[in-house]
Amino acid sequence: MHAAIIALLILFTSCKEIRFRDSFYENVNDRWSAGVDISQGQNLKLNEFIVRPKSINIPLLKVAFFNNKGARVYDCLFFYAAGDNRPGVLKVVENTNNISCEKLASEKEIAKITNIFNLKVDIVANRLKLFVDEKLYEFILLNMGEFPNKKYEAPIKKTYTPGVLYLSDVTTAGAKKESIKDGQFCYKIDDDCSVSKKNICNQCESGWHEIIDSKCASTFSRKCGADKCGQKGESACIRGSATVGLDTNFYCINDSPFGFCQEGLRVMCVNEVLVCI
Amino acid sequence: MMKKSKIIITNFSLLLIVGIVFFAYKSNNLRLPEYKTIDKSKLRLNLAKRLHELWMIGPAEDELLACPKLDKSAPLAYYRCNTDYLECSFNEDIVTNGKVFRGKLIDADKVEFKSDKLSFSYKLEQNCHMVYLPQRFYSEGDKRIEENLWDNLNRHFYVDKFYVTNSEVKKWNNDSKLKDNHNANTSLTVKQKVKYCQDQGKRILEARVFDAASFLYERDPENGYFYKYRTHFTKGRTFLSKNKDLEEKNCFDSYIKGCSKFFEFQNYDNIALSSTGIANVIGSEEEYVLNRFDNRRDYKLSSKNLAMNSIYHQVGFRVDNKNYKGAFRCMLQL
Repeated sequence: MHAAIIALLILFTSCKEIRFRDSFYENVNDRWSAGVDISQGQNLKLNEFIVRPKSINIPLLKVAFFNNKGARVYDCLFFYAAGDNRPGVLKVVENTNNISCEKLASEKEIAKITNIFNLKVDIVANRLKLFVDEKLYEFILLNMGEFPNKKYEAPIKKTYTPGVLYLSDVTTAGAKKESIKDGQFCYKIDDDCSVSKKNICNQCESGWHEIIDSKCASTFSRKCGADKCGQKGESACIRGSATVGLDTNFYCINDSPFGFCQEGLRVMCVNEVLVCI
Repeated sequence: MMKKSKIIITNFSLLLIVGIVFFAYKSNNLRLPEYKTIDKSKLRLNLAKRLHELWMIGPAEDELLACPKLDKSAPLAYYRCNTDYLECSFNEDIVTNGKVFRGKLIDADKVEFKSDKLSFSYKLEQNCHMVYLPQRFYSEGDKRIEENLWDNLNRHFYVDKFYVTNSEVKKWNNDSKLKDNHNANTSLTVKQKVKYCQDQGKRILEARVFDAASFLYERDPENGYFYKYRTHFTKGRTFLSKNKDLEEKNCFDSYIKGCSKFFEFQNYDNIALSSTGIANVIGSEEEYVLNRFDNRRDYKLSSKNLAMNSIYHQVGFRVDNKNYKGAFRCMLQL
């Protein structure tokens, strides 16, 4: 009999990790199960109770997921930590224009939980766990695969169902992306290999191409427009710095080995860019 | 006797209390029956698994028989990542977790599954027939010396495994004269080929990338020199250089003149596969590639029209022949 009681007690205590489902979970899970990416807020420490700052909405996470058209849309998760006289509130706000979550702290929520005293957040691979008092809300972001660790392997995310992406029912359009005209930079790398313009080459009207315009040996700037490298008056094609085996500090010289052109043309350095003349 | 019944009553009471506490706890957490009845995440995942099978793995032979409109002569691989097969497979309902769903192709890359009250949408990715080019040093052209060297370290290239088909081109330009089949398309001009690939978000395949994905290389560990072998399937002498009769097994290495007496050439068959995995490296169809080093060498003449003793049956050996239309494929850089 005592054994039965102990077994029941063990069962009781082990049920602490039961995933909780209520309207908050259902509303949010319908969106976030089509999740692609999670960005952590600056103040968020994973797996630690969030107790301060008090009396303000702290942006904890920005979750990217697909809408019903397959475009990326975003939500922000905020927590108002419990104060002396007021319990905490967890809320999800739609981030239609993909702006910084801080700017949406006072916006109306699409889902919320009130009367919270303890909150902990954890992210393990594609699982987002919210420990809200004694309840556990677990969201699995089905499109959030992992890139392979191997350096030379194809950079394809390994997901549950390769080739098939999950879409949510959300009809909100993503932030309008302006197309970029040919000839403009869509990705810019500096001499020290830092990124001075984030990669937005998917917004190019007619593809993109790489150019050599910096001393960085490992990655190259990109401009919108079809790749015409090697042709007269166009940028030089990239040979690859590992093949050349020279210090890329000296890339900008006439007949630079870092680029190549069609037979009969010369690689020249014009305004720090290798072109074919 | 009295003592024994007292123990039983005490234990029973204790068990009752623990039981009440446990069920109170459980019902507090999971008391909303409407959220327990439908596990949408599970349904969403199960449907995705089925869609993954239909899309990425494609049909078995008997499954294809259920699709009367589809060409049975095409290799099964052709029906991977193929919307025609997907639409046919949606004639049957999918039952999961006791719910019946009907699939529908909404766009070329979007699928919706609907039941009475539920609906789930998915986006399809076209990555069944693309081969990743390993990051390393390469050399363009057929010459055995080190020339036209380049590398793709930190750069990601994917190459079409097979030729672009008539069906794909027909969907692109609505050419009524074109047959809707899996055969390699040879009707487009070079300009149109370039535009076709561009409209797919890709680029026309470049000669240096084609060679990189085709050659068998051997690198000398002492001086770094790497040797390029004439064929993609062996370092030694091949049937192409021996004066012997053509055998059926040779045609799997290179489909050349005379192979048609053994079997018919089919685009999407695993013929003349390179070590990276692209097909039709030598033989099969004549093929146009864009040569960035020398645009006078942009046409692969090696094909099923040339006999085994032809000098053109060498990896990387191309000629200048812009009037020929030839087959083509696309590549992708990420």
